[in-house]
Amino acid sequence: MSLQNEDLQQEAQAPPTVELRNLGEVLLHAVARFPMTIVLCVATGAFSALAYGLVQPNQYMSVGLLLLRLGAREQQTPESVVNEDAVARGPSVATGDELLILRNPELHERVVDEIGPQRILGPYDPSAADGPNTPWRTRWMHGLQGFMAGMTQPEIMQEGAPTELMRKAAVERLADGVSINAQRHASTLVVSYKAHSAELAQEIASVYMRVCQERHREVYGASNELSFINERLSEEEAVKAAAESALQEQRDKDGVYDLRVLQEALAEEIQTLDAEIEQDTILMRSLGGQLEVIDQQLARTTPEPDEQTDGTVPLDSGSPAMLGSRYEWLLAQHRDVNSELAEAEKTFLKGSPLYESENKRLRGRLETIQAEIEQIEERLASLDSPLTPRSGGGQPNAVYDGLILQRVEIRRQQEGLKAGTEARAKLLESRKERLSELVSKESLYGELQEAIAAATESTARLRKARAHQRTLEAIDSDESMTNLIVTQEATLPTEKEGPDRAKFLALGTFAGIFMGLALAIARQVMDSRLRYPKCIEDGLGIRVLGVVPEESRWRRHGSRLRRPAA
Amino acid sequence: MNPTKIHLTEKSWLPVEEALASVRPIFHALLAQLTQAAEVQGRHRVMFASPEHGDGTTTLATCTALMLVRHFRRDVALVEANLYQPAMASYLGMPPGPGLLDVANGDADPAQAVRRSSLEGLHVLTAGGSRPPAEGELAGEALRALITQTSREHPFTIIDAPPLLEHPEACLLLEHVDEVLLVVRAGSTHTNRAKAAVQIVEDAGVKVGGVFLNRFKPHLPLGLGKHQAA
Repeated sequence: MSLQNEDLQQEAQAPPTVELRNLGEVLLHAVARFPMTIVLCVATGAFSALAYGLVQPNQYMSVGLLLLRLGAREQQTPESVVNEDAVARGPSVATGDELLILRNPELHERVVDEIGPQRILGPYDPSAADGPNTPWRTRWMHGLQGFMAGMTQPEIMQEGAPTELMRKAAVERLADGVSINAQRHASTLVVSYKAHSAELAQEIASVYMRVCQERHREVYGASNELSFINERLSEEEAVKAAAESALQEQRDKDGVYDLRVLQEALAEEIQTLDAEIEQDTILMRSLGGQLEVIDQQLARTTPEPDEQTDGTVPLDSGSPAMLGSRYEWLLAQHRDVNSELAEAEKTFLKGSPLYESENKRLRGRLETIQAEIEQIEERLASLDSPLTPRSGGGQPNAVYDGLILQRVEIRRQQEGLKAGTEARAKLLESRKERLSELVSKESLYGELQEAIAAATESTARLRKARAHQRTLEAIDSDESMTNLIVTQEATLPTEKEGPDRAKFLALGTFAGIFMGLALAIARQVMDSRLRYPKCIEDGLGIRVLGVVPEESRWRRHGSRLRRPAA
Repeated sequence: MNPTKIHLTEKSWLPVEEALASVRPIFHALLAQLTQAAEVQGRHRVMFASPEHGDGTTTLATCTALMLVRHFRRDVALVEANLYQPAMASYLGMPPGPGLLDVANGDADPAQAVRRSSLEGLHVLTAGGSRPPAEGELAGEALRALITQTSREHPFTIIDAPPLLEHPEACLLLEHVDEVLLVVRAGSTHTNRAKAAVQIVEDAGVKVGGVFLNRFKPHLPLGLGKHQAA
């Protein structure tokens, strides 16, 4: 004892090597000081976990497999529906997408509606399956489990509870129990459900798989795309019809059927008119030359005596020369009157009395001149010979008359040619204006024709897509033709899946250890009693003279010897 | 050690000797300190006090007195001022009285109350045992005069005081001492209560010479016990 006490004193006087606040030190002291606290916590945790595990209902898990195939429907997008060149969705995320689709809470509601909330939330009573050969311990445990299940039965399962609340609770129970996951490196989805009875687990898993298939068909069904295509097709056809109508209206307005053909025809006509006008110019120049020659010949020929007149010529007896001269004079008069008429139209206000009187006068004169020109032309045409005897009895000059007649003829040709040239020039001008007008509208026609072409192409593509979607829709209408197929029906479990009571026990024990240590450390840290010399020096600031060890025998005798005051 | 000089009866020998054996290794420094102070001052008065009862002041005071007498051959007066739970007479194998209460009651003469023990040089003034003590009895003039007289007549006076926090009159004893040695019980005395006791002593103008950690019990095996001193 003496040696032990000396060691103790040496240790007590030795400087501390580790601070008491160090967690390891605190833990060490806590474990040493409060072992019973830790033991009690561990025992409580283990017992509680074991009791919890024992009253938990047995769990049976049914498993089914769904295979996801990637068809046209699963990969197409709205863009790829209307445009084949658009990039479709890649297959790498297909199973992930499918999982997100099938984990929709709406599916749980469908399953609940099909099976019924009472069936899903049905009470757990394992003793119902016990028979006379069931061991008494098992019967007792089943009875306890049934009792606990009845105690923990939600209120909504009682009589008169609102149906909607029951349905909601069933959906929550289903959401907790059902599991759908993808297998790695595969396109297979694993559907499982845990329930307290094997039949219920199988039923729910089976219904859930069927609901998954329905949901898959809804999401990837072609009906949405088909209605979308029809809408787009109607729009494109309306655009095309509007463009065609606008083009036709413009054509009717412009009198054009084919702008390019018309432009080419006009260009050709303009070219022809240019050539004709050029030819007329050449011919006019030729006729002018001939007229000069005739005039020179006439100047060398002695005119007949009756030609010396004041200009008035008897039509029936006048010589051709006289008629010719008169004819030329009349033509000049005709031009002058026409000029005066044009001048009057510019000078006087149309409809005014002055204009009317002047117009009437000039037109009367023009008609008179025109009538005389026609008479002379008839007369000249009726002369069978240029040597027709003169009414005055003079001897005709055949050469002179011939020249006169030729000159008249040339003059007449010149007038005719001039009128033709003017008409062609006017026509040429109008054709050029027309061509210019058509050129200015070329862009408008081009836009309309491009719109029609684009709408035509789009409608053709949409019709093709619609035919494709109709095929898919026909496939959709057949429930067996789905790309989410059942490769393994929901199994009927033969062995229970849980609860893992050993796991509960281990968890409870660990929790107890943890709680016990925490409690012991808390007690150690919160303890303000003086236990060590260091505490005294730190707490009181007074040096420790000595540490007297606990001596049980000494204390026992001391207590016995201490007497209360008599 | 010569146990035959102190154990007067077989009954009282075991407790005090075992206690003495336990505390001997830690008393060397204390005894040296006390004798040095006595040589400087001519006499020295020490009071063993604790915040609460049961901390072990009587045992340690008795052991200190025995060691001073036995090893340093000093004349020591041992005063049991803790009237409320007297044990010193039993520890030393002496009759309970006459003591302080007997003097206060007039049943004994003050000169008879300070008794010689069988150990040469050890004079003992026990609590006495004729009647139960009254509250505040320690503050009585006769008892204070007796304690004063006793402390004047001996170079060493060791007073076993009642718990400071439980008996306020104990602070009156501080007038007769040069220093106080505080005794606390390991794992029982709270820091706040120890501080309060120290405060009482210091308020009286007396220094606290040190603290004894009594009934220390290691929680860990000795191999890991170094840290328990921390």
